[in-house]
Order: sequence, then structure tokens, then C-alpha cells
Amino acid sequence: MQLNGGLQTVNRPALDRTNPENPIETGAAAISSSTLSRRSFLMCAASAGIAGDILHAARRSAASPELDTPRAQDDALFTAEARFYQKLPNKRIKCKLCPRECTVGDRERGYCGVRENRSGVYYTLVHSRVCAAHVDPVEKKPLFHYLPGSLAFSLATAGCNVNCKFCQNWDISQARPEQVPAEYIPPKRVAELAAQWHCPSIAYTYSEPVVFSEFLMDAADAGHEAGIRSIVVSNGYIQDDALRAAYGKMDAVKIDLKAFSDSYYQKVVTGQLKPVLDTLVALRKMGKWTEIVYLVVPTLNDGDGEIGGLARWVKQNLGTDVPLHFTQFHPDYLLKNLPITPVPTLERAREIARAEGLHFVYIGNVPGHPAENTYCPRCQRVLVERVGFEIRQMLILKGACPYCKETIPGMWHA
Amino acid sequence: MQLVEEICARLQEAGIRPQDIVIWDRDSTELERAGFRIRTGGSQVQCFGTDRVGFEADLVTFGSVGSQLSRILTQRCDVLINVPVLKDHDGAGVSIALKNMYGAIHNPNKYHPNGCDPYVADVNMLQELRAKLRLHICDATTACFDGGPAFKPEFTWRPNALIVSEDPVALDQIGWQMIERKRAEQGLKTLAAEDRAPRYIETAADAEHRLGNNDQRRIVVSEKHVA
Repeated sequence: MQLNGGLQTVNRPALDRTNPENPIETGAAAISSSTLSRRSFLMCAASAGIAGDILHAARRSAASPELDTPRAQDDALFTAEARFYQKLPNKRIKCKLCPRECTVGDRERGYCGVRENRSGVYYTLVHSRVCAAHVDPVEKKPLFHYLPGSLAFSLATAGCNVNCKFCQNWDISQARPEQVPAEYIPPKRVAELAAQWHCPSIAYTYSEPVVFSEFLMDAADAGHEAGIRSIVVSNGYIQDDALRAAYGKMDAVKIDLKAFSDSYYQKVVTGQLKPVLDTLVALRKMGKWTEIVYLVVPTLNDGDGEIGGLARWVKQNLGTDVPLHFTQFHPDYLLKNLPITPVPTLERAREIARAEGLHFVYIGNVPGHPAENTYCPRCQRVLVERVGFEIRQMLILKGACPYCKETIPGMWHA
Repeated sequence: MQLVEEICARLQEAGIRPQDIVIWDRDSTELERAGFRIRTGGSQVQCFGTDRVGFEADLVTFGSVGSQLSRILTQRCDVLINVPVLKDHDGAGVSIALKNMYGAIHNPNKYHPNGCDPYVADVNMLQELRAKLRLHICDATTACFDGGPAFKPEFTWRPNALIVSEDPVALDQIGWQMIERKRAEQGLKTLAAEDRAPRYIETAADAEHRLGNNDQRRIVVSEKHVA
């Protein structure tokens, strides 16, 4: 998945220990019960993560095992048979989770690195294997038309089914699970933690939730039993059956549409465009509240023609009410040679999309920009005023503009 | 394992202290499964996987590849002796000397598409690997001609050979041909006919990589028979 601009980057647990304000460090997944003001909470949410004992495994100062034998993760605890695969002769399997359809030999793993063939049975190695957990404002996902101002108990496991050259969370998304400190947090515990932290939603995010679909499904069920919703932040690179089974359990979805050209998907993402477009259409048909993020990377996917094509496609296939976020790229991972996206580029993209008729087009990763706000498409008044992740005003009443009564699509109230 | 033990013995005869020799692979469990005993500390030959010490935090890159390197490679090794096994590979065609270096990086699963081409060549271009790799000793005592890389007894034969070279490309070229000959003998299709010829070998020899020579006319195979 794409997380950029520092705004969605998962904070590395091992590096944030020195922050004395960090109240949600955990040991054995027991999150501290400190009472926080919203302001202090938001401050710490940007620097908090599951840490505790796992720090020792992550902080290795020398390549000497006698000095530093890491704590072994109990592999069996996190291993469950995968739900989306097909058995082949000679103990091989074909993964049916994502469009890549890895054919995996015995004792080998798929492209994602978190699924392994063991004697012809395919296993996920990341069920309940949480390597990052934070309490985030839902605006950080970003979801702007979904319970604004609410919190999401956000978690990730290692692994991803693509390899975006700009990934800001590559140290978990591109790692194998055993390379990343993790804690065992089973589905019911996820729901308990979300409730404990007054989060109306669980968010599956940071790395790529497609690769931990089984855990996501079970956690969503546990959450719903406890009255807690589920949202997912995903690249949408998933097969239709898996999409319906896994994301069918979601209450809202954010899809990173990384470009509107297949060559970009091949060269920069290591994936394909069409399956992601298919996912967006399927989500629309499933009635899932969906928002789209498009990370604008200078020179690679910021052409007027590409942006215009994207906007027309969204209008024709999803409608004019789907929120579209143009977010600012920051150099990282394997794309350090490009500059930060200039704000005028983002503004131009927004204008192109609005000119095509889209009603809710946002600019992201530029805190304080007026295009973070939600405007009524009819009377043009500000309905939700945002600065970064903070909600300054929320005026929508019963899903409508209080001035002209225009219906504003979204899930505005719990 | 016997081959590795012999290499360690010869290194010690050459004056290298046992504690300065590290037998390593990606994972300690895999080493144990192969019969090695994990040994850390003391004055004996060391044996452990990268899981015990982790990977460098920084990425190193070449071409299509961006990876973290094993800290055993970066912090414990001055010289690397590569000891691959001669085997078929369902995706890459063959897995011999060049592809064995996937064991030194944190994200090998990302580099299996397209028959591992150009990824295998690019991994071998990573500076730390290229600077330290000196010798390749391929264990072809028992080799795998199909169904690899996992060991499947029905697809193995016993060439009873070691293939030794300073040039990993030449070694892979020769090893590939040995596997093709065995496949022909068994009535199997060529790897090319199965659309899995190891194209990365040619890539490793190209002008961008120059990791060695894959032109069989320029490879001298010197066979020595040992009683």
C-alpha cells in the first residue's frame, strides 16, 4: 500500500521508545490505560506503536548472536491454513488471493512473503501477528466521509503483494514476518483494545491488508460482535472471490489507486492497473463506502491527460460522489531521486477532476490547505473544516448540508 | 554438510582460526534441518542463520533490486565462499551459484517473477556481495533435475561431483547443462520448452553486469577424478 507524506507512515516501534509521551507502548499487547486529552492523544498517536519487549529483538547492535539472541516468535501461534488457494500436483499450490496467482512449490513462499507452502498445504504466517498498532484519527487513513473526528484502532502485519518504489512503510511491508518484531493479538483482543481506546472502528492498514485477509476477516467478525466497525486501507490488488469474502466484512474502504496507467503499475508498483479498477467497481456494486487516494508522483503519474482519464473513469464507473484524494509524494525507499510534489501540481489535478464533474476532490498531505475541507457541491459552503487530521468544524446534519439541504454522501454519524 | 566440514577443515589448515569461520544461511532452522548444529561463541567454527543477528537497516540497490543485507555478510565476513547445491528450480529454471545469493537478502520473495531475471544478476551486483565473493564450490554429489528447489528423491541423481569456480556465471552455465543432459536422459523437456530457461545467467554475463562468462566456447572445464 502507499503511505506517504509522513502522514500515514507507521511509526517504527523500536525507534520511538525515547518519547516519554508515548502512552500506548505495550508489552505483550497490553496497551496502557492512560487517560489522554484529545490533543495529547493526537500528538502521541503520531509517535506511538506496539513496543515493549519487542524492542530488544529489533535493536541489534552487533552481528554477534552470543551477545544478542533474539526472542523467538512462536511460528505456530501465527500459522493458519490460507483460505484462498488451489492445490496442484507435486505438492505445489496456486494462490488465489491476489491477481498475481503465485504458483508456490513445497517449502516456498509467495511474492508477499507471508504465505508458505508446507507439504502442499498453503498457510498464512501472519494471523494475529501484529507488527504495528496505533490509535489514529480516521482522517489519517484518509477517510473523510466516514465518522469524521473518530478514532480507529489501526494495525498491520508484515507483508505486501506489490513493491511500490515509494513505499514509506517498506520496512514492514517488504519484510518477511519473522524479520519484524510482532505481538500475538488475536481477533477478540483486537476488538477489546479498540473498545478500550474508544475507537468505533478497527483499521487494517500500514502494510497491505490483502495479505492478511484471514486475520482481517476474523478480527472484523470479532469487532462486529462487540459493536465495532472495520475499515481497510488497501491497494485493491485482490481477486474477486477474496474481495467479496474479506472486504465484504468491511464498513468502509480506502483504495490506493496508484496511477491510471498500466506501465506505471508495472514499473513502479510491480502490479497491474485493471484488477484495481475491477475492485473499485466491485466495491461500488457491493455498496461499500469507498474513497480513493491517488499519490501524485512528479513526472511519473501527474500528467493532465492521465489525471483527466482517471477522473472520467471514476465518473463513468463509480459516480461523481466518490471522494478522490490527491496526495503529496515525499521521496522514500527506492524513489529518492524525485522531489516532493509541488502544491500547484496537486491543485491542478484537483481542478481537472472537478472540471470533469467529481464533487469531492481533496488534497492530502498538505496540512492547512483549503482543499482538505468538504464543501457542499450545491451551495459551495464549508461543511467539514479540517487542518491535517484535526476537525475544526463538522456541520453536516443527518447526512445533509445544513444550508441548502443537499445530501452529502458518506457515513457521517455513528 | 560433509563438504562444508571439509572446507572448514582446509581453511583451518591454511591458518584461519575456527572462530573466524562462519557457516551461515538465511535461517538457523534451515541449517539444522540440513544437519548442522548451531554454534555461537567460543573457539569453534561458528554456525547460525541471519535470523540470529538480523539484516542491516539500510537498503542497498542495484538495477531492479533494493534489499537489506544479512549482517553476517556485512559485519562478520571478509571473504565469502559460496557453497550451492546443483538443483532444478520451478521458477528460475536452475538454482546454483548465482541464485544462492538470495539467501543473503531480506526480501528474496520479491525477486522470483519473470524467472528471477534480472533480479538474480542484480542481487549479485550488490557491492558488498561482489567484493567479498571469492570462490564457488557447488555440491553436485547429489543433484536435482526436476521438481526443485525442494528435495524430492524421485527427481535426484548422483553425479558425485563438485563444480568449483571463481566465476559464478560459468559455473551456473555448466551446471545448467548438466541438468539439461540429465533431463534429456530422463525423457523430460528442456527447461526452455517448459518456459523456464534460466535467462538470468545470460543477464549476469551482459555488459551491464559482467559477473562472468556464459559463453561455453570460452569456458574451460577441467575434470579431475578422485578415487
